[in-house]
Amino acid sequence: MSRGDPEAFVDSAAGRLIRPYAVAGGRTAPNEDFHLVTYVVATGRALGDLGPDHDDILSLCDRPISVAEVSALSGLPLAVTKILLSDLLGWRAIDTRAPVPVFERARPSTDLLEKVLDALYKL
Amino acid sequence: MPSTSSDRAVDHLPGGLKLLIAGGFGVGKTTLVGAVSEIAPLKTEATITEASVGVDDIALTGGKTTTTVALDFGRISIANEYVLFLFGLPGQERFWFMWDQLCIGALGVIVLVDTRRIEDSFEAVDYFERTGIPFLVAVNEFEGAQFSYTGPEVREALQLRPDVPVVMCDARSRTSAVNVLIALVKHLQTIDYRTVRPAAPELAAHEGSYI
Repeated sequence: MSRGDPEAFVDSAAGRLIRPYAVAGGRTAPNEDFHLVTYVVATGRALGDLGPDHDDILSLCDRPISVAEVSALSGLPLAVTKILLSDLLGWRAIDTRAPVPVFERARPSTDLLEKVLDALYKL
Repeated sequence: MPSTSSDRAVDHLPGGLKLLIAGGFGVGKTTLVGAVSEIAPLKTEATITEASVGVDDIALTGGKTTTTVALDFGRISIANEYVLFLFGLPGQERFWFMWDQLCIGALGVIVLVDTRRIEDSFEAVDYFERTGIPFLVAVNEFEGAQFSYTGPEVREALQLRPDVPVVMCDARSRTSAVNVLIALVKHLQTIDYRTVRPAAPELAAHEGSYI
């Protein structure tokens, strides 16, 4: 199975061509695309019957939501949540935005910290 | 296959930011999260597999046992652009390997201290000093606490570096909890990041498989 070409398993008319557990099968480590505070949102792409776990998770993505919240609200452990989200990303059922990089050899931007401070003062 | 449409939902996704709250069991981490969060604190679970120490367990599970570690968190929206998440770190020492992963990408850390059990905070302070992640110490002043300490006394007891701020707070009070966050962000503004190392650089590419 090619992880590089998830499109091969989605047909525009028929939806997914293989069962979710077959796609997720054997994977125990989550995709690196997902951190606790990665934001996800459904693309609106119709995929047909995904099965209950994927369906539950995808419906939580109707609005922008963090990975941590998807896990908390679905009741699924984080690692499982990330695997299911990886599937949804592979099928292009969701889009993601990576966390703001703040600690990679650089200070958080002055602008970012100012915005955070402003918001805190308003609380 | 990037879309050329300018109104894709992904363009409206906020950028996630993370603050961590460390401290011993029962020190008020979740209370602090609840005081500032715009949502009721949520709980997510990390499932970890540990080597079992019990002979019976080994017989039953092949030497490994699964433990669930709960992470409480809340969030604060920042100007429709960012969302700041606050995560309470699991306090037990045996979950410290998770701290390495949770610290990745975190803006900073609040070490919450209960002066009745100040020794519970020694190792957290030591951990964050070693990893170089910016932190401050917030002393949760419990009503009716048997011992009341001043900031300088806590600084002395924890042997803090002079640049680490110490603030007093009441974790139940929204105003007080917000002031702790403000003190932390102001502290972040003063830090010379050239001297700060990322926590657990070998893990910096991703969070890892536990969380």
